[in-house]
Amino acid sequence: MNLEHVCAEVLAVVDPELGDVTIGDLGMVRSVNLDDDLDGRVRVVLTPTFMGCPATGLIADAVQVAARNAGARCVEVTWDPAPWSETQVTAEGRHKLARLGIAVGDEGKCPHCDAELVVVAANSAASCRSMARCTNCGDLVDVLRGAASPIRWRHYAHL
Amino acid sequence: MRVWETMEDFDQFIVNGGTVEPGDDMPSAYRQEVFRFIEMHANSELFGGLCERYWVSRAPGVHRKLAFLAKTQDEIGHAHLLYMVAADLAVKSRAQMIDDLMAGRSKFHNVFHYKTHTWADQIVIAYLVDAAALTTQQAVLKQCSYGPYRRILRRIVSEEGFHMRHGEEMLLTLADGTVTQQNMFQAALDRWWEPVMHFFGPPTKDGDLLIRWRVKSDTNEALRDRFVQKFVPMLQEYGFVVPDPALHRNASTGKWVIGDIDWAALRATQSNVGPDSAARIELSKQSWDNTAWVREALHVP
Repeated sequence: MNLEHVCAEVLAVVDPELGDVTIGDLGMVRSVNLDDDLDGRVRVVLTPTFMGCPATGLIADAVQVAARNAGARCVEVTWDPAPWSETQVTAEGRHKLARLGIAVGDEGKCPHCDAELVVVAANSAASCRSMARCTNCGDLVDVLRGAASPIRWRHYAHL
Repeated sequence: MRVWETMEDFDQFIVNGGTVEPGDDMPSAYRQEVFRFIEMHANSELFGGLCERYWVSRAPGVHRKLAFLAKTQDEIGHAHLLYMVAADLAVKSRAQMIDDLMAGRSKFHNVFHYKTHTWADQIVIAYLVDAAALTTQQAVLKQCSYGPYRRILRRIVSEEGFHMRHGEEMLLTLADGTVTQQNMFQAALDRWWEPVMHFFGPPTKDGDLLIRWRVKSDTNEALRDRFVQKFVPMLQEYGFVVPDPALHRNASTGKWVIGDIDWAALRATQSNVGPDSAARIELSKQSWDNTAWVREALHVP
């Protein structure tokens, strides 16, 4: 078993709700380690984008399958509740999210026309996403953000 | 802002693959058609969310409750997005849309005019109705001419895909379960198959404006057929019987052919006099009234 290969396969697991965005793109993979004391067990530590995310079960199952297909015999997936933040999203992740109409963080720009956004609702489809509107084209955009990155409410506008 | 001198110019723009944006001086018939379509989608997402919410406290186990909670948030979030996109068309304000819905003057999808009797009914909804919705939404997303709608549909479609996987997981639990569980699902399937066939709508008429202006890219029959070809074999493989005595496989094409559809029940839902229409509208009204204090606290009219 090649740990690097296992790690690459784990990073390539796609988020069940975000098209082709992977958990590696989102910065959800904390570590992938080999535990020699436990007969070559692979320990994967993930962090959810928010506590109570309903996708964690599906993601953990997919990680199990990916790691085993990459040659790991025994895999342990655990969730680290340390707060996730949108700053952990990779450049590739930002690019893929923009294609879905999702900006990253409060400073995120409109994926359609690159203008400023105004938050219109604290939550959209998930608790790690707010709803925003573009100040230029008026498009409705989701903004991905961690719970530790509170919304700048001065930007809040009712529509 | 783009202006089209004649309807022929506009039609040509659409045929050439153009995308209409909210600031454009679009023909008023186009504006009305697109608005009507998005308003019905928004209403249906709201009713879908309320229907899911009912099951949060009734779902078996904390895992399922969590999933239903999240799905409720998804559907309400979709409704929120869609009402904003619809309101931007300036045909009706958001408040008017809500008023019309609560007063029973608006349309919402036929499947929300029926009662859910058991947990298995909700699984049929989560699996088959979400799959049917996904089939129709994917066809709109493919080349919808109205830009803001197409762009939010991209996110809605990825989220509905997640719901369907959840529905499939719940279905497999019943299919692998006891005879009682299997019978429960079969009984629910017997109740829901016709409404699911109706969901795609009656045969599309020639000259349909939504097709002409590339809001929809496929006819209702084509979408229904795509669904049938995929889900009939799947349900059979899980050990269930599709409740259509005329259902058969065409020997030469190998395709599944369904029996004639009786449209009477669909027409009743379209006039908001379906089996559970009144109760559903009342439920949404109660939910709206019960959350008045939130809007008041946020100073939203």
